[in-house]
Amino acid sequence: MPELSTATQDALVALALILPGLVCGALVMRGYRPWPVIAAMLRRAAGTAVLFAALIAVALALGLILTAQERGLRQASARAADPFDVIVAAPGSETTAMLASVFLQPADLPLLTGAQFAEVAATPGVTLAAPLGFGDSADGAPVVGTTAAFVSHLAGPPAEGRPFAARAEAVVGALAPFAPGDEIEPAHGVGEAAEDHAHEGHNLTVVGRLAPTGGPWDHAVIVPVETLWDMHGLPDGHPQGDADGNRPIGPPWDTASFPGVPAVAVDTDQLAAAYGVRAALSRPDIMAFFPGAVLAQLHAVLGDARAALSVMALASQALVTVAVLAGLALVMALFADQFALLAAMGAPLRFTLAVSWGFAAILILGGAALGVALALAGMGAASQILSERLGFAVHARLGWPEAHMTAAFVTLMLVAALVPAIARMRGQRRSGIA
Amino acid sequence: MPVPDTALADGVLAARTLPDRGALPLSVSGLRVVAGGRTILDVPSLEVAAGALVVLRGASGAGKSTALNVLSGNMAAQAGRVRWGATDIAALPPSGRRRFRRERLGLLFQDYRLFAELGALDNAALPAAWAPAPRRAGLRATARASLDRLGLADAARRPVAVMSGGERQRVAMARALSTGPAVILADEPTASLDRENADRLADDLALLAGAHTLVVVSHDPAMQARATRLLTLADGRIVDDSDA
Repeated sequence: MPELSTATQDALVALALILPGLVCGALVMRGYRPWPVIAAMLRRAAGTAVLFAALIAVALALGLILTAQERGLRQASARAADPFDVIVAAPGSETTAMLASVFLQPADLPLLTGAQFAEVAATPGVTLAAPLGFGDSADGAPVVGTTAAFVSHLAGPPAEGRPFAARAEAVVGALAPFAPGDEIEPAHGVGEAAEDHAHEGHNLTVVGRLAPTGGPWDHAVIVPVETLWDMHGLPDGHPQGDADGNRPIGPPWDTASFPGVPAVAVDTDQLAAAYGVRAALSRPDIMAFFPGAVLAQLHAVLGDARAALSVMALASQALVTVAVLAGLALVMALFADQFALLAAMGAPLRFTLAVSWGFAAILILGGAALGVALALAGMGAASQILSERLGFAVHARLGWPEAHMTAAFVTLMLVAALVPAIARMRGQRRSGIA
Repeated sequence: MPVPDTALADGVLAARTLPDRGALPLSVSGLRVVAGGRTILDVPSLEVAAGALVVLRGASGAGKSTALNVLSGNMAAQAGRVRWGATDIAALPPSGRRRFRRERLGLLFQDYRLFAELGALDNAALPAAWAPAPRRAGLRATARASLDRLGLADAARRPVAVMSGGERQRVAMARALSTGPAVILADEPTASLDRENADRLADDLALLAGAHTLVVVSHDPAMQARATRLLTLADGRIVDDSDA
């Protein structure tokens, strides 16, 4: 038997979830045409109907946005870690080192020595070993020291200007609050603890703006790692200067005068080489890890949180369901005269059921459609807020999981709507003319 | 009784072109309805000929509405038989009484009982909503024809909410006729109408006699004047039975 594509499987699951609701509707409505009566009732209770539909819509939209954003967050963070094959750091927390290197989160990391960096760079299969230095900022943007080669590996050639070529030059990420030609005076530290003017005399000129990567580095000011060392009064790994007596940037560095770096980003030519690097450099005095793997562990934790949030979302949807159904039972009581008329005219009891259930079904389907529309409209805003808070681009979209959630929600409500409808039908067993 | 020249004058013929199953005679015996320990309806015997126009009258609380409810099968009696033709509806289960109502009965109410949000035709063709699919088109056609003959040809789509009382009661009559009923029961059908509309409706109902058996609760002298038989109720009993 041919294997079904993922999309086909997802579509079948969605169909299987919505099917009970549709079957329920088909059984209830079979043989009747209650829509004129339902339309009249909807017109009479238009305000209440809109309110109930809005309640359903909001409950569903919140659930959809929550799950889609969580997935968007996972995908965005995985994308941000993509350019980092292996990260090498001094022994400690892999999570902290990953958050500092990939997500540029402030962290106090022990340093790798010059000898250790040289060993990393010389490990077989390593095509790029870039020191990463953090800890300073400019107008809230992190200032990161590394090499031009790593900048090129991360974001390709600059979208504007050129790569940095001297210590007083910087390139900025696509979303950093600077433009080519700007002068920057970095502050020591980050956030509220940043000390302005601590690095006076180390002004930088922005010479290029990078293309967007969707990662946290889009907000960074990136400088030669030697610039960071200079700003902090450290040796710079180039004790002799270059042949012309200039102060060079980039590798190779002199091991003895290498001041140390908190992390090294490593690129390898093959996947097997990456595993080799990790194996070779996972020792008591040094650690190497795949940021993707660390992220996966975090996602697993996040997955637990997602499960908890999903339960809360489902609970809120269930509460809304109960509230709406209770409300519908009250609304149905407002139509006692109409139901009494139907009974007096001899309308079958199941027709009463069809009217009550159809009324609820319209609200449920309308509310669900409105909820999906709300989720689509709110998704952009939620992504923007998340992106701003997290520092990297989260692009959430409604997908099959949300389609499944919507189908399950609609079916649950359609089936649950039978309860007040059956109660109304039973209430119609006796009815008088006058 | 003179036949007035009303909008329904042609309707009698039209009614006979509907699924005509003929007017049904009524036979009641040993009927008793008790509520709260009190007998509210006690009719030892009553025979009504098919096609009669019977008006029930009596003071408030005399049992008129109870009588209509029992005759329609909306209310079950504690004892007795209520035979419409060969069918004793008092012996039927609730589902059977419902079926009898929707197939053989047309109802008129003092307050019309229409869906104000719907147009005249949707109201008049309301039974089509639960009728078997093959009958729906016929029901709507009958409802439309009844509206036409009741002078509401141009009002089929007009919402009932904007209609006068007289127009609403004619829509209600078109609804009662849409199923081609054998029996029409009416509860104070002219009470909410002005004199002119009340007279017109009384004329229209009178024209239906013969093709349908009518039992009308009414205090309206104009309605009573058109009856073929007058029954007076007091304390749940028929205290006067006279041919008009």
